[in-house]
Amino acid sequence: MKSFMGALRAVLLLAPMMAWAGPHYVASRDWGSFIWLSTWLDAGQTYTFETRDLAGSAPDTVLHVLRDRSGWSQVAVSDDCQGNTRSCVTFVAPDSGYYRVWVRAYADGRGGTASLYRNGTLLLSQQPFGGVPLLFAWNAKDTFRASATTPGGGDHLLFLLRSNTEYLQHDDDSGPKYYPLVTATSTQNVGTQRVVVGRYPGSAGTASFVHDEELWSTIFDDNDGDEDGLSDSLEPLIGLSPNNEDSDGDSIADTLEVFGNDGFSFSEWSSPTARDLYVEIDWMQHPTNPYLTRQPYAGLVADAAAVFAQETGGSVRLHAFIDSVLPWYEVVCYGSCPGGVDFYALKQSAFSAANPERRPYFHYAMWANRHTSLTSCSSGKAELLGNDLIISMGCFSSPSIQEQRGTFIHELGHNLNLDHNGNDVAGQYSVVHDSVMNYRYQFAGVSNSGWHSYSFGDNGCAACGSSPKAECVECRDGFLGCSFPGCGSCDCDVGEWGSLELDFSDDGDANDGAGRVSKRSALTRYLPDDKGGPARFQPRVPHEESPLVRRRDDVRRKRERLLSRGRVEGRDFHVSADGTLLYAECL
Amino acid sequence: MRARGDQVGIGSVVLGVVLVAAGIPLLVPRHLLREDSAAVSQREPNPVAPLETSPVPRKDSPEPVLHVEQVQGPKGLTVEVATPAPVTSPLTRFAKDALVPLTPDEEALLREEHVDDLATLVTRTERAFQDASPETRARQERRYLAALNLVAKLSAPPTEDTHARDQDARYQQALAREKAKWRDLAPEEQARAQETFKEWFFQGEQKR
Repeated sequence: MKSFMGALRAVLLLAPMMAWAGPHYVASRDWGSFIWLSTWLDAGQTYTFETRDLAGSAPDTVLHVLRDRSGWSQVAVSDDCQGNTRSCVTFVAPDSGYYRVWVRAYADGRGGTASLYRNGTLLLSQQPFGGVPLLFAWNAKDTFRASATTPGGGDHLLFLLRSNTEYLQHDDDSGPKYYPLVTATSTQNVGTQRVVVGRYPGSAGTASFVHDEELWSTIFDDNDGDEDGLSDSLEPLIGLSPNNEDSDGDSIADTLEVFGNDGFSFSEWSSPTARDLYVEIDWMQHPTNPYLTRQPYAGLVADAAAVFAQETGGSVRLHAFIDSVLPWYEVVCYGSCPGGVDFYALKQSAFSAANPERRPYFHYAMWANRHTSLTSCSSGKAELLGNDLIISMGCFSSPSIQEQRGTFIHELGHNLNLDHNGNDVAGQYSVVHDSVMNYRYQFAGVSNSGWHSYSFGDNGCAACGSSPKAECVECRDGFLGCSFPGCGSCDCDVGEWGSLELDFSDDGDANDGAGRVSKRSALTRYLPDDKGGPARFQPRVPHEESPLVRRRDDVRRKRERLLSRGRVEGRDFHVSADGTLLYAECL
Repeated sequence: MRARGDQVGIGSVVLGVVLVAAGIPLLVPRHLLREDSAAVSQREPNPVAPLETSPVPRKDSPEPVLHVEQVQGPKGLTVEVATPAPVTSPLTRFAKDALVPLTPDEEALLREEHVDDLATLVTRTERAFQDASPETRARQERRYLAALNLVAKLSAPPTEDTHARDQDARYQQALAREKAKWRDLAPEEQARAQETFKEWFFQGEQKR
C-alpha cells in the first residue's frame, strides 16, 4: 500500500513534466566545430582568456572554462565581452591541472572563425567555431545522443546547459564508436535549458541528434513496445514504427541504424527508413600472374549501387565494399572438393576479420577463378535465398566491366531469391524476359543495352498481366508448353526480394537476432543497471559457421519455402548431395 | 634425339639473347611451369591463411580512412562510394590544401606524425600533452597548438549566411534601441540587461 501511494504521488508530481518534456530528433546535419582546447593552469594564478578577430556572417562566441575534479564543473564563462559579440573572462585558477576552454557559437548561424588568446598571447589563430543549441525541456535519466551519419564520420561533443552560461554536463565519446551519449542527471524545464551539439576540432561530417525519454522507468514498466531501445513516442518522430523493431524491414534493427555501433557503424551508412543491403567482396590474387588475378573493376561498387537505386527509386540502397585480398586457389567449392578450397573455410578466415560485428548483416561475395571443378566454366554460383555468392570468371581471359557487373548483379539476385525464371536451357532464353537474371541479358545487359537490371524499363513489372513473366509464358508456348512449372503465376522479379527475410547466421530462420531481432533479444543487448541507469549497446556479435547438421536443417527449410512458392528443384534451384547447400547453378 | 635436343638448347640460347636484346623478359610465371596446378593443390592443399584481426581500437588509433565521394550514375542517379584514401605523405597533402603557408612548428609536426585525418592528429597531440611530464609539457603543448592551428588553416572559410546576417542586423538594431534605455544603469547591470535581452531576442527568432 505504502509503495502504491509512493508511486501514485510520484505520478501526480511528474505528470505535468512528462507531458511537457517529449523526445526530440534532429535529422542528419552539419553542426559546426567547437574550439575545445586543453590547457594547463597553475593554482592561484590569474588568467584571462578571450576571443578576438571574429569573422563570419554573424560571428558570436560564448567561452566556457571547465575543470575535471572527479566530475566536470564550470570555472568561468563569458558571452559578450564589453557589449561585443566576442568573449573575455578573467579568473584565478583554483588548483593546478588541465582545464578545458570551450568556445561555441551563441546560436545556430552565429558561428565563424575566431582567435583565442591567453593572457594576451595568441594561442589559436582563426579557429572555426560553431555548434548548435537546441532548446527544450527534459527529465532526469533521459538520454541524448549524436550519431555520425557520414562514413568515417565526425567526432561530436554534446553539452547540457541550465542556461546560456550555466554548464551541467557534457560527453565526448561514451556511446558506440565514440559518439557522445549523455544521461541527464537532473530534470530541466525552466525554459532556459539547452543542449549544444558540435564537432571535435579537426573532424568533419554530419550527425543526427536524438533525445529520448527514459526507457526503463522506475514507475512505468515499459514505454518501448517493440523493445528496440527507442521509446514509443520517439519512433514516430523519426518515421519509425513503435511496434516493429526493424521498421524498414531490411533486417537491420532500428537501434543500429539510428544510434550506430562500434566498428562498422550502421548509422553512418544506413537509414532506418530505407532498406539497406550490404555486400562484402573479397578477391583472389594470383601469386605471380596479374592477368589471372580476379580483382573486381574499380567502378563496380558505384555501378551496382546505381542499379539498385534505379531499380527501386532509392528505397533499397546497396552498399558493396571491395574488401580484402584472398590467397589464390584454382577452384573454390561450397564444401570440400578435390583440388579446391572450401568456400566456407576461406570465408571463416577472411570475412570481415576486422569487423566481426557486421557479419550477420553482410552478404559475402568471393571473386574467384573457378568453382566446383577445374573444368567448370560457370561464371558464378550463389546460394538461393542466402548470403553467399561466388563470381568465377576463370574462363574469361579478361572479363569486361559489363561481364563483371552483370554477373555480380545476377548472382546477388540469387541471394535475393531470384531464379532464372525458366531461362535455363541454352539457346532457348526468352527475349522478352528483360532481366539480368535471364542468361540472354546477363552479360549484354537488359535489351542488350549494357545496363543491368532485374526488371527495369519497358518490360518492367508494371502490371501482372503485362509482366515479362506473363509474356514469357506466351513466348515459350511453342517449345515448352503452357504447363511449364512456375509460369502459371505472376512473379515479378523486382517485387519479391524487397520483402525477404534472409537467414544470415545460417541457423534455420530469419527471425533469430542475426537479421530481424526478436523481441527479447533487443533488450538483452542492453545492460541497464538497476532499472533506469545508463544503457550501453553491446555491438559485437560473435560469428561461427553453423555445424553441418544445422546447415542441412536450414537447407531443408529453404527447400520447403521455395517449393511452396512454386520453385522447381533441379531447374530453379539445386541441393548439394550432402544436403548442406541450396544454390542456383549458373552457366 | 640428343643432337636434336642440343640444337634446341642452342636455339633457345640464341632466341633468349635476341629477346633480351629486344627488352622482352624471359621470366615465366611459376604456375605455367606446373604440369597440373589442380593436381598439385590436391596433393598439398594450401592451408587457409588466417587473416590478422586488429586489436581493440583506440579513438586515435589509425583506421583505414575512406575517401567518400558522390558518383554520378546513369540517368542522373547519384550514389555514395567509399574508396581508400590516396597514399601521400601528410605533409604533402595538407600543405597543398592549406589556405596560408604552414609554420615550421606545423611542418615539423606533420613530418613526425603520420596521420590520415586532422581529428586524429589533434587527439593524438592532445593526449601527448595531457600525458606530458612538467619538463616536456611546454613542448607537447606547442605541438598540440600547432595541430589545432593546422586545422584552422585547412578548414574551409566560413560561408556567407544571409539569413544569419539579416538576423544579426535585426538584433543589432533592436539592441541599439534597448541600450538607449539602459544608459543610466551601472556597467554590470547593463551587461545583465543585454544578456537577458539577447536571450529573449534569439528565443523569439527561433520561434519565427
